[in-house]
Amino acid sequence: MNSTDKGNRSITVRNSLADCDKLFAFLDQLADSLGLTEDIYNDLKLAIDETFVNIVSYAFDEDSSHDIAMKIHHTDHRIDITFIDNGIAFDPLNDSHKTMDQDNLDKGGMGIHIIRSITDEQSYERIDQRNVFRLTKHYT
Amino acid sequence: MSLSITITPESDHGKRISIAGSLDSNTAPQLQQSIDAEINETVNPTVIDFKELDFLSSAGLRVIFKTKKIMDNSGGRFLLVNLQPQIKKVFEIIKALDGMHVFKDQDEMDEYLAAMQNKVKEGE
Repeated sequence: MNSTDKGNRSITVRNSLADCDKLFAFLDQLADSLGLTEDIYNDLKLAIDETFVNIVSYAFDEDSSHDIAMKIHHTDHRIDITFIDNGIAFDPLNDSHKTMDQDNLDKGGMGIHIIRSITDEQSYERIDQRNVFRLTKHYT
Repeated sequence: MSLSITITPESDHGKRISIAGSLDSNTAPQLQQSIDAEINETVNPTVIDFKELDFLSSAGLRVIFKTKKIMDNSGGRFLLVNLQPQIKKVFEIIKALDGMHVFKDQDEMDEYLAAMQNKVKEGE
């Protein structure tokens, strides 16, 4: 399910890791039409993967099927990517439960660190029983 | 995007795992399966060849670090070669390159291996 208006596009997928490919394909289309550089494209793709796997892993009971919407809003030199889902309250930025341990990188905990490194702003809100997680990337 | 994995013998008792495409949250389990089947304490060195890899996320990194742990525990060498800039960047973000053997290309890795062999010979 895709929709487009000026500078604002969205796609809705299921909470299944396999659906990350649909988000990538959506980004691919956008990157072509916006003429994004490879560096910006790679950062956005990485941010999408890291965010999606976090939401799928932590915002839902394992065997329940839910929608996750991803909206991309584009203005001059700025891209906002917003993820919206109706899972249990889950703030990816609240990483107190999971810290990155340099000696135990095989245990994970790297995702949110990567997201913070490659995007310029991150915000989380709980609105109307929904998780709303927004990432902003500035570029020239 | 998909991931393709090719495993070939490497000098002595080693194995080279060449990965192509996208190593992401969706494809990382495939690599984990191959590693589980192919890499154990008798393998030395383990070489991960990133030459054809276009994309890497933290799910893929976890598999890489799990493999490194197997090699660290067995005293085997763990070598990374042919990292493209966007792949290297992900390692750099999590500051994981310190203490790892990373080579920009095959020549650099061959030089290292030759130097290691000379050291062994000198020690004999």
